[in-house]
Amino acid sequence: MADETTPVAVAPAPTPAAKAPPAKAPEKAKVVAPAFRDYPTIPALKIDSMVESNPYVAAAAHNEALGFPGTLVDGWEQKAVAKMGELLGKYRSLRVYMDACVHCGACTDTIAVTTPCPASCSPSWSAPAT
Amino acid sequence: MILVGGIAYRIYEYLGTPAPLKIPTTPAPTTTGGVAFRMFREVVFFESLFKSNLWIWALGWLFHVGLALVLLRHLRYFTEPVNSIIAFIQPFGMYAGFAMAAGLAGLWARRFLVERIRYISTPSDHLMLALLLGIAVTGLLMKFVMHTDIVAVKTFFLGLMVFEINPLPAHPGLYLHLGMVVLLMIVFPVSKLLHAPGVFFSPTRNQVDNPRETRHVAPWAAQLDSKN
Repeated sequence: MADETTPVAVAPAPTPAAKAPPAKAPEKAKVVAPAFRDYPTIPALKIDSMVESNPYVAAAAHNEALGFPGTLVDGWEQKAVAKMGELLGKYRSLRVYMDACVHCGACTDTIAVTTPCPASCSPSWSAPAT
Repeated sequence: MILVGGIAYRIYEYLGTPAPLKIPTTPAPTTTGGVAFRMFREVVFFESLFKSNLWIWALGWLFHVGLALVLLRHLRYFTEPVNSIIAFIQPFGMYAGFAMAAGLAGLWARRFLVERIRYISTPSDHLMLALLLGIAVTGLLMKFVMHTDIVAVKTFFLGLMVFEINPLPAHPGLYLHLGMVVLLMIVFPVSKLLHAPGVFFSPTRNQVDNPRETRHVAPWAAQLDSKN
Protein backbone atom coordinates (compact mmCIF):
# COMPACT_ATOMS: atom_id res chain seq x y z
CA MET A 1 0.00 0.00 0.00
CA ALA A 2 1.63 3.23 -1.09
CA ASP A 3 0.65 5.96 1.34
CA GLU A 4 2.43 8.55 3.39
CA THR A 5 3.27 6.17 6.25
CA THR A 6 5.18 3.83 4.00
CA PRO A 7 8.88 4.63 3.72
CA VAL A 8 9.80 5.91 0.30
CA ALA A 9 11.12 3.06 -1.75
CA VAL A 10 14.60 3.60 -3.12
CA ALA A 11 15.37 1.92 -6.39
CA PRO A 12 17.33 -1.08 -5.17
CA ALA A 13 20.78 -1.34 -6.64
CA PRO A 14 21.77 -4.95 -7.06
CA THR A 15 24.12 -5.46 -4.16
CA PRO A 16 25.80 -8.65 -3.07
CA ALA A 17 23.74 -8.52 0.14
CA ALA A 18 20.48 -8.55 -1.79
CA LYS A 19 21.53 -11.67 -3.60
CA ALA A 20 22.40 -13.52 -0.41
CA PRO A 21 20.18 -16.54 0.26
CA PRO A 22 17.51 -16.19 2.99
CA ALA A 23 18.99 -16.51 6.46
CA LYS A 24 16.64 -19.31 7.47
CA ALA A 25 14.44 -21.34 5.21
CA PRO A 26 10.98 -21.77 6.77
CA GLU A 27 10.00 -25.26 7.85
CA LYS A 28 8.23 -27.02 5.03
CA ALA A 29 4.62 -27.55 6.10
CA LYS A 30 3.19 -30.93 5.23
CA VAL A 31 -0.11 -30.23 3.54
CA VAL A 32 -2.33 -33.29 3.32
CA ALA A 33 -5.44 -33.00 1.20
CA PRO A 34 -8.42 -35.05 2.37
CA ALA A 35 -8.94 -38.23 0.39
CA PHE A 36 -11.62 -38.18 -2.29
CA ARG A 37 -15.04 -39.17 -0.99
CA ASP A 38 -18.11 -40.15 -3.01
CA TYR A 39 -20.25 -37.77 -0.99
CA PRO A 40 -18.36 -34.58 -0.11
CA THR A 41 -18.53 -34.27 3.67
CA ILE A 42 -16.70 -31.70 5.72
CA PRO A 43 -13.55 -33.06 7.40
CA ALA A 44 -13.58 -32.96 11.21
CA LEU A 45 -11.67 -30.24 12.98
CA LYS A 46 -8.09 -31.21 13.71
CA ILE A 47 -6.21 -29.63 16.60
CA ASP A 48 -3.01 -27.86 15.55
CA SER A 49 -3.62 -28.55 11.87
CA MET A 50 -1.95 -25.23 11.00
CA VAL A 51 0.77 -25.30 13.64
CA GLU A 52 3.46 -25.67 10.99
CA SER A 53 2.14 -22.80 8.93
CA ASN A 54 4.38 -19.76 9.33
CA PRO A 55 4.64 -16.41 7.62
CA TYR A 56 7.20 -16.35 4.84
CA VAL A 57 9.49 -13.71 6.31
CA ALA A 58 11.49 -11.76 3.77
CA ALA A 59 15.25 -11.73 4.31
CA ALA A 60 16.56 -8.68 6.16
CA ALA A 61 18.72 -7.71 3.17
CA HIS A 62 15.69 -7.69 0.87
CA ASN A 63 13.70 -5.51 3.27
CA GLU A 64 16.56 -3.04 3.72
CA ALA A 65 17.02 -2.73 -0.03
CA LEU A 66 13.39 -1.56 -0.20
CA GLY A 67 13.86 1.02 2.56
CA PHE A 68 12.24 -0.99 5.35
CA PRO A 69 14.03 -1.92 8.59
CA GLY A 70 15.43 -5.43 8.39
CA THR A 71 14.10 -6.67 11.71
CA LEU A 72 11.11 -5.99 13.96
CA VAL A 73 11.29 -2.45 15.32
CA ASP A 74 10.65 -1.50 18.96
CA GLY A 75 6.97 -1.16 19.81
CA TRP A 76 5.83 -2.99 16.68
CA GLU A 77 2.64 -4.11 18.45
CA GLN A 78 1.55 -0.50 18.99
CA LYS A 79 2.52 0.34 15.42
CA ALA A 80 0.42 -2.56 14.14
CA VAL A 81 -2.57 -1.47 16.22
CA ALA A 82 -2.16 2.12 15.02
CA LYS A 83 -2.02 0.90 11.43
CA MET A 84 -5.22 -1.06 11.99
CA GLY A 85 -6.85 2.14 13.27
CA GLU A 86 -5.65 4.01 10.21
CA LEU A 87 -7.05 1.35 7.89
CA LEU A 88 -10.39 1.41 9.72
CA GLY A 89 -10.57 5.12 8.99
CA LYS A 90 -9.71 4.67 5.34
CA TYR A 91 -11.79 1.69 4.29
CA ARG A 92 -15.49 1.66 5.02
CA SER A 93 -15.65 -1.97 3.95
CA LEU A 94 -13.21 -3.01 6.69
CA ARG A 95 -14.99 -0.97 9.37
CA VAL A 96 -18.45 -2.26 8.47
CA TYR A 97 -17.36 -5.88 8.15
CA MET A 98 -15.43 -5.82 11.43
CA ASP A 99 -18.57 -4.53 13.16
CA ALA A 100 -21.22 -6.49 11.35
CA CYS A 101 -19.93 -10.07 11.03
CA VAL A 102 -22.46 -12.22 12.90
CA HIS A 103 -20.31 -15.39 12.89
CA CYS A 104 -23.08 -17.18 11.02
CA GLY A 105 -20.58 -19.74 9.77
CA ALA A 106 -21.85 -19.81 6.20
CA CYS A 107 -18.27 -19.19 5.06
CA THR A 108 -17.10 -22.38 6.83
CA ASP A 109 -19.66 -24.53 5.08
CA THR A 110 -18.24 -24.68 1.59
CA ILE A 111 -18.21 -28.33 0.64
CA ALA A 112 -17.86 -28.48 -3.12
CA VAL A 113 -14.07 -28.23 -3.23
CA THR A 114 -13.44 -31.96 -3.02
CA THR A 115 -15.45 -32.80 -6.13
CA PRO A 116 -13.25 -33.36 -9.18
CA CYS A 117 -14.20 -31.91 -12.53
CA PRO A 118 -16.38 -34.27 -14.53
CA ALA A 119 -14.83 -35.40 -17.77
CA SER A 120 -17.43 -33.44 -19.71
CA CYS A 121 -16.00 -30.10 -18.56
CA SER A 122 -12.38 -30.70 -19.55
CA PRO A 123 -10.97 -27.41 -20.81
CA SER A 124 -11.25 -26.87 -24.52
CA TRP A 125 -7.58 -25.90 -24.80
CA SER A 126 -6.32 -29.26 -23.60
CA ALA A 127 -4.58 -31.44 -26.11
CA PRO A 128 -6.90 -33.96 -27.78
CA ALA A 129 -6.64 -37.45 -26.38
CA THR A 130 -4.58 -39.74 -28.52
CA MET B 1 -31.14 6.80 24.35
CA ILE B 2 -28.02 4.61 24.13
CA LEU B 3 -29.65 2.70 21.29
CA VAL B 4 -30.53 5.74 19.23
CA GLY B 5 -27.42 7.75 20.09
CA GLY B 6 -25.10 4.78 19.64
CA ILE B 7 -26.54 3.74 16.29
CA ALA B 8 -26.55 7.33 15.08
CA TYR B 9 -22.88 7.57 16.00
CA ARG B 10 -22.08 4.33 14.18
CA ILE B 11 -23.92 5.47 11.08
CA TYR B 12 -22.01 8.75 11.22
CA GLU B 13 -18.80 6.72 11.48
CA TYR B 14 -19.74 4.57 8.49
CA LEU B 15 -20.68 7.64 6.47
CA GLY B 16 -17.43 9.36 7.41
CA THR B 17 -15.24 6.46 6.36
CA PRO B 18 -14.50 6.61 2.66
CA ALA B 19 -14.92 3.54 0.47
CA PRO B 20 -11.88 3.95 -1.79
CA LEU B 21 -12.37 0.90 -3.95
CA LYS B 22 -15.08 -0.09 -6.39
CA ILE B 23 -15.84 -3.56 -5.10
CA PRO B 24 -19.45 -4.59 -5.82
CA THR B 25 -19.79 -8.37 -5.81
CA THR B 26 -20.51 -9.26 -9.40
CA PRO B 27 -22.82 -9.84 -11.14
CA ALA B 28 -23.88 -6.43 -9.88
CA PRO B 29 -26.46 -3.97 -11.19
CA THR B 30 -25.17 -1.16 -13.37
CA THR B 31 -27.77 1.41 -12.35
CA THR B 32 -28.71 3.07 -9.06
CA GLY B 33 -32.23 1.69 -9.33
CA GLY B 34 -30.82 -1.78 -9.79
CA VAL B 35 -28.69 -1.35 -6.67
CA ALA B 36 -31.75 -0.26 -4.69
CA PHE B 37 -33.58 -3.38 -5.89
CA ARG B 38 -30.63 -5.60 -5.02
CA MET B 39 -30.40 -4.03 -1.56
CA PHE B 40 -34.13 -4.59 -1.07
CA ARG B 41 -33.75 -8.28 -1.90
CA GLU B 42 -30.76 -8.53 0.41
CA VAL B 43 -32.46 -6.84 3.36
CA VAL B 44 -35.88 -8.48 3.03
CA PHE B 45 -34.98 -11.94 1.76
CA PHE B 46 -31.28 -12.27 2.77
CA GLU B 47 -30.51 -13.21 -0.82
CA SER B 48 -26.77 -13.78 -0.47
CA LEU B 49 -27.20 -16.02 2.57
CA PHE B 50 -29.87 -18.00 0.69
CA LYS B 51 -27.39 -18.60 -2.10
CA SER B 52 -24.50 -19.50 0.16
CA ASN B 53 -26.12 -21.60 2.86
CA LEU B 54 -29.69 -22.74 2.69
CA TRP B 55 -30.20 -24.08 6.20
CA ILE B 56 -28.62 -21.12 7.99
CA TRP B 57 -30.82 -18.94 5.79
CA ALA B 58 -33.95 -20.90 6.73
CA LEU B 59 -33.36 -20.51 10.47
CA GLY B 60 -32.15 -16.93 10.23
CA TRP B 61 -35.00 -15.79 8.01
CA LEU B 62 -37.59 -17.52 10.19
CA PHE B 63 -36.23 -15.66 13.20
CA HIS B 64 -35.93 -12.26 11.52
CA VAL B 65 -39.39 -12.34 9.94
CA GLY B 66 -40.86 -13.48 13.25
CA LEU B 67 -39.03 -10.65 15.00
CA ALA B 68 -40.31 -8.09 12.49
CA LEU B 69 -43.93 -9.17 12.94
CA VAL B 70 -43.57 -9.31 16.72
CA LEU B 71 -42.04 -5.81 16.81
CA LEU B 72 -44.88 -4.45 14.67
CA ARG B 73 -47.38 -6.14 16.97
CA HIS B 74 -45.78 -4.45 19.97
CA LEU B 75 -46.43 -1.03 18.46
CA ARG B 76 -49.90 -1.26 19.99
CA TYR B 77 -48.35 -0.60 23.39
CA PHE B 78 -46.90 2.68 22.18
CA THR B 79 -49.67 4.23 20.10
CA GLU B 80 -53.18 5.39 20.91
CA PRO B 81 -55.32 4.95 18.85
CA VAL B 82 -53.80 1.79 17.36
CA ASN B 83 -53.22 1.93 13.61
CA SER B 84 -55.61 -0.38 11.71
CA ILE B 85 -52.73 -2.26 10.05
CA ILE B 86 -51.15 -2.91 13.45
CA ALA B 87 -54.51 -4.11 14.73
CA PHE B 88 -54.85 -6.39 11.69
CA ILE B 89 -51.51 -8.15 12.18
CA GLN B 90 -52.05 -8.88 15.89
CA PRO B 91 -52.95 -12.58 15.38
CA PHE B 92 -50.09 -13.07 12.89
CA GLY B 93 -47.67 -11.52 15.37
CA MET B 94 -48.78 -14.08 17.94
CA TYR B 95 -47.74 -17.01 15.75
CA ALA B 96 -44.67 -15.13 14.62
CA GLY B 97 -43.56 -15.24 18.25
CA PHE B 98 -43.33 -19.03 18.00
CA ALA B 99 -41.53 -18.82 14.64
CA MET B 100 -39.05 -16.39 16.15
CA ALA B 101 -38.38 -18.62 19.16
CA ALA B 102 -38.04 -21.69 16.92
CA GLY B 103 -35.57 -19.92 14.63
CA LEU B 104 -33.53 -18.72 17.61
CA ALA B 105 -33.50 -22.18 19.18
CA GLY B 106 -32.27 -23.62 15.88
CA LEU B 107 -29.60 -20.97 15.49
CA TRP B 108 -28.41 -21.57 19.03
CA ALA B 109 -28.44 -25.36 18.59
CA ARG B 110 -26.02 -24.92 15.69
CA ARG B 111 -23.57 -23.19 18.00
CA PHE B 112 -23.49 -26.27 20.22
CA LEU B 113 -24.05 -29.14 17.81
CA VAL B 114 -22.03 -28.23 14.72
CA GLU B 115 -18.34 -28.60 15.45
CA ARG B 116 -17.10 -25.86 13.13
CA ILE B 117 -19.74 -23.42 14.30
CA ARG B 118 -18.98 -24.21 17.93
CA TYR B 119 -15.34 -23.49 17.20
CA ILE B 120 -16.00 -20.02 15.77
CA SER B 121 -18.64 -19.03 18.37
CA THR B 122 -17.69 -16.37 20.90
CA PRO B 123 -19.35 -15.58 24.25
CA SER B 124 -20.98 -12.56 22.63
CA ASP B 125 -22.67 -14.80 20.04
CA HIS B 126 -24.20 -16.84 22.85
CA LEU B 127 -25.17 -13.72 24.81
CA MET B 128 -27.17 -12.29 21.89
CA LEU B 129 -29.01 -15.57 21.35
CA ALA B 130 -29.65 -16.00 25.07
CA LEU B 131 -31.07 -12.49 25.38
CA LEU B 132 -33.25 -12.77 22.28
CA LEU B 133 -34.52 -16.22 23.21
CA GLY B 134 -35.16 -15.07 26.78
CA ILE B 135 -37.15 -12.12 25.49
CA ALA B 136 -39.15 -14.36 23.16
CA VAL B 137 -39.87 -16.98 25.83
CA THR B 138 -40.90 -14.51 28.54
CA GLY B 139 -43.08 -12.73 25.98
CA LEU B 140 -44.80 -15.95 24.94
CA LEU B 141 -45.23 -16.94 28.60
CA MET B 142 -46.98 -13.65 29.31
CA LYS B 143 -49.21 -14.15 26.31
CA PHE B 144 -50.19 -17.78 26.85
CA VAL B 145 -49.41 -18.84 30.43
CA MET B 146 -49.34 -16.05 32.99
CA HIS B 147 -50.99 -12.87 31.85
CA THR B 148 -49.94 -9.48 33.03
CA ASP B 149 -52.05 -6.33 33.13
CA ILE B 150 -51.33 -5.07 29.61
CA VAL B 151 -53.62 -2.09 30.04
CA ALA B 152 -51.34 -0.89 32.84
CA VAL B 153 -48.29 -1.69 30.69
CA LYS B 154 -49.67 0.46 27.91
CA THR B 155 -50.36 3.29 30.35
CA PHE B 156 -46.76 3.00 31.53
CA PHE B 157 -45.29 3.23 28.04
CA LEU B 158 -47.61 5.98 26.84
CA GLY B 159 -46.54 7.92 29.93
CA LEU B 160 -42.87 7.09 29.39
CA MET B 161 -43.01 8.58 25.91
CA VAL B 162 -43.75 11.97 27.43
CA PHE B 163 -41.31 11.32 30.30
CA GLU B 164 -43.97 10.54 32.90
CA ILE B 165 -43.53 7.55 35.18
CA ASN B 166 -46.73 5.59 35.72
CA PRO B 167 -46.86 2.42 37.84
CA LEU B 168 -45.73 -0.76 36.04
CA PRO B 169 -47.50 -3.95 37.17
CA ALA B 170 -45.26 -6.02 39.45
CA HIS B 171 -44.94 -9.16 37.38
CA PRO B 172 -41.72 -11.22 37.26
CA GLY B 173 -42.19 -12.17 33.61
CA LEU B 174 -42.69 -8.56 32.61
CA TYR B 175 -39.65 -7.36 34.55
CA LEU B 176 -37.46 -10.07 32.99
CA HIS B 177 -38.84 -9.32 29.53
CA LEU B 178 -38.28 -5.57 29.74
CA GLY B 179 -34.93 -5.94 31.53
CA MET B 180 -33.54 -8.11 28.75
CA VAL B 181 -34.92 -5.74 26.11
CA VAL B 182 -33.12 -2.84 27.78
CA LEU B 183 -29.89 -4.86 27.99
CA LEU B 184 -30.15 -5.75 24.30
CA MET B 185 -30.71 -2.09 23.39
CA ILE B 186 -27.66 -1.10 25.44
CA VAL B 187 -25.31 -3.62 23.80
CA PHE B 188 -26.70 -2.98 20.32
CA PRO B 189 -24.27 -0.22 19.25
CA VAL B 190 -21.19 -2.15 20.42
CA SER B 191 -22.08 -5.60 19.15
CA LYS B 192 -22.60 -7.65 16.05
CA LEU B 193 -26.20 -6.49 16.08
CA LEU B 194 -24.74 -3.64 14.03
CA HIS B 195 -25.27 -5.88 11.01
CA ALA B 196 -28.70 -4.24 10.82
CA PRO B 197 -27.46 -0.75 9.88
CA GLY B 198 -24.19 -2.17 8.53
CA VAL B 199 -25.79 -4.02 5.62
CA PHE B 200 -26.79 -0.69 4.08
CA PHE B 201 -23.18 0.49 4.15
CA SER B 202 -21.60 -2.64 2.73
CA PRO B 203 -19.65 -1.53 -0.35
CA THR B 204 -19.99 -4.92 -2.01
CA ARG B 205 -23.77 -4.49 -1.95
CA ASN B 206 -24.47 -0.78 -2.29
CA GLN B 207 -22.14 0.11 -5.14
CA VAL B 208 -23.10 0.44 -8.78
CA ASP B 209 -21.01 -1.65 -11.16
CA ASN B 210 -19.77 1.24 -13.34
CA PRO B 211 -16.02 1.57 -12.70
CA ARG B 212 -15.32 2.40 -16.34
CA GLU B 213 -18.09 4.94 -16.82
CA THR B 214 -17.40 6.85 -13.59
CA ARG B 215 -13.98 6.96 -11.99
CA HIS B 216 -14.26 6.29 -8.27
CA VAL B 217 -11.62 7.95 -6.07
CA ALA B 218 -11.69 8.44 -2.31
CA PRO B 219 -10.48 11.82 -0.95
CA TRP B 220 -7.30 10.34 0.55
CA ALA B 221 -6.51 8.46 -2.64
CA ALA B 222 -7.11 11.59 -4.73
CA GLN B 223 -4.47 13.39 -2.61
CA LEU B 224 -1.96 10.68 -3.48
CA ASP B 225 -2.91 11.05 -7.15
CA SER B 226 -2.26 14.76 -7.10
CA LYS B 227 1.18 14.24 -5.54
CA ASN B 228 2.35 12.18 -8.50
